[in-house]
Amino acid sequence: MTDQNPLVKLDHVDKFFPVPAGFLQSIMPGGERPAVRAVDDVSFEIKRGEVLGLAGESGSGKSTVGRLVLRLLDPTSGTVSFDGVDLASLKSEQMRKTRSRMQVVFQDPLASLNPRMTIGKAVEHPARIHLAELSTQQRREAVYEVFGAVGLDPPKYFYDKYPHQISGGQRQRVVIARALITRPDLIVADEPIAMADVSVQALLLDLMMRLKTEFNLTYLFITHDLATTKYLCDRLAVMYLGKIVEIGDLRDIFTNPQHPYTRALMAAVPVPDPRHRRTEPLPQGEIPNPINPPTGCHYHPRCPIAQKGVCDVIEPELLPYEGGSRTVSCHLRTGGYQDLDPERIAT
Amino acid sequence: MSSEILYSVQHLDVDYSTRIGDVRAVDDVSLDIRTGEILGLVGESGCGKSTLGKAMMRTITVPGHITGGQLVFEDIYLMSLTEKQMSHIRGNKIGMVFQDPMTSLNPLMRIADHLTEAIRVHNKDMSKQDARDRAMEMVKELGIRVERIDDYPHQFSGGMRQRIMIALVLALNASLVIADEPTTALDVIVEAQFLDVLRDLQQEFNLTILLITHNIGVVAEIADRVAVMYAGKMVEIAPVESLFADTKHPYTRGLLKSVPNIDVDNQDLYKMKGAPPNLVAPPSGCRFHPRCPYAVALCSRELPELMSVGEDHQAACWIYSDRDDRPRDETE
Repeated sequence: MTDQNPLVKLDHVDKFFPVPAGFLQSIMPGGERPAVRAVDDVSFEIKRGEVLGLAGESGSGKSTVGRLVLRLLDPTSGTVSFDGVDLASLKSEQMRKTRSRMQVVFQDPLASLNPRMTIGKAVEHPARIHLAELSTQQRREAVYEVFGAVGLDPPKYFYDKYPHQISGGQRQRVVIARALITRPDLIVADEPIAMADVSVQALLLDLMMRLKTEFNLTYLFITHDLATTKYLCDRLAVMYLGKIVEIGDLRDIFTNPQHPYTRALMAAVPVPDPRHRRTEPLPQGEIPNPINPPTGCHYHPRCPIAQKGVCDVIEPELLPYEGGSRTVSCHLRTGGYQDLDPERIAT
Repeated sequence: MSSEILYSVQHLDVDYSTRIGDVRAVDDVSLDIRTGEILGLVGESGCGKSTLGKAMMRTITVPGHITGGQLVFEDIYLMSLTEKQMSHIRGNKIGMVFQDPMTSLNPLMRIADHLTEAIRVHNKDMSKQDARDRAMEMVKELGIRVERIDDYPHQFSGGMRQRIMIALVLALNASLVIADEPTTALDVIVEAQFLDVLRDLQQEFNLTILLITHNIGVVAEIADRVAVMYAGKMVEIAPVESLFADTKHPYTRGLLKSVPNIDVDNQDLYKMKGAPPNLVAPPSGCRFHPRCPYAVALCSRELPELMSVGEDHQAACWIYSDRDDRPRDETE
């Protein structure tokens, strides 16, 4: 697998959303128009058959990255490639063909399904566009097959149901079935289990794991909940204010998180065990406004180990940590100021 | 901690009338809340936990009705109060914090006005300036910068608004706070910060908190005792340590085993079969029996009551009865 081309590749991708100018700004000549830097110089690859977890708080830009990968948004600069092809170079007909190979599952299945269409028809719909060569009967068989794969059993019973007649967990299975019908290579799953109850979450995670092997899938798994990434992901990327601050092998990051933000995020996850009540201090305040992010390292105002004159002035880069495959964007952990790291000094 | 009972729910029934018949959302539920404790009330969507919280404030609205049982708060029988008397209790004695604080704050009032108004309700002869000074102290206590007291609610982030809601409850001198999913809309770090504030306040002011949540992790972090609901019934009540270490009810066992734990490696998530039942036609006997790995014939025939299964620990499951035809727990 390692010598293959990556299925998805983001190369220095920016996505800025302009903020509507106020009256004064609109009559003033010149000056820089403010913009939300939703995604700021993000690069990563997803290999075939791999699951990349993308974690962060609201406003970190993780969902925008998902939309860029699907070309639901075009990047402000940089390139997004799918299977070696720059998506921006594709004409609409080529893009449509490529789309059948990339599918998406969102958080709210009720919002993703037409309330007036039976779930069978809803799942058949993409097949009518992307698999036009199939006969009506063949298409219906294809629906039954994916229904079976996602556990909507018996498929014939479910085919004529409307979204309101089935449970929330079943609805999410319908959305997953719809994503599978075109036999995609990639599924972007944006908080796919966040709305489900705990007992249903476990079932959906298990299903996604099973389908990955059965259908040879590659996932981009976007979530705010680090605890769930453990069940699905091979690698993990942590985003903060539009930037990736740490990315690498999930197990490495979980056993030894290096970026102070990754540590904070992990410490804050409530642990379902009363014997392990949290003792680590939390970062101060909340995620700042992305229109006007802090200078230097975006995390410095909240960082417990930030060094004045360095972290608030110089923007850090993603650099390899201890020669491994993991990269971390922190002056004190991988940058040129490691001798200032209080942890290193203490030991 | 004292075991004095501040609020006692006794055999409460709440029905919702629907086109397809009455749905009993809360069915014969009894629960005691002790002074100074944080009691976590957990369950999945539709189990009746929020309905129970609303019923305790008597804010159930049509098509819902409280159809039976008693609510006793500080020795007052709330069901016998007039609406006016009840609204006095709501404003002064029991405070409520919801998932979305924006719906609870007046968008046209500054934070200072919200707080001074609440403070002066209780101290009618307090000057405006004194009330403002008091409000500033409270805001500081909650980790909000004092100069932000003249800002409007929309200028605050979600976590800060939730803190302001708590400040309002404190300003009212309420003795009980019912918090319904207060951290569900917050990001993890902000959620953890808010839980810290809540725990500090509870200790400092001896607040009593009923924390309604679907998040088992939150309960494990902060609760003293936990009550678990399933399909309108209370199925287990225990101190938080025993609930996790010595889980009795099969539903609670399944629930705890399906929660991902960031601290545990190679954890196998438990996959509970089926889905919670439709309350228009709930299953006979124990409502969990169709999904229960231990169920026997008895479970589908007769409904188990909450019974004592350990120190301060109750569960509604036939396993713990002395009947001959009871289900057996292989782990024992």
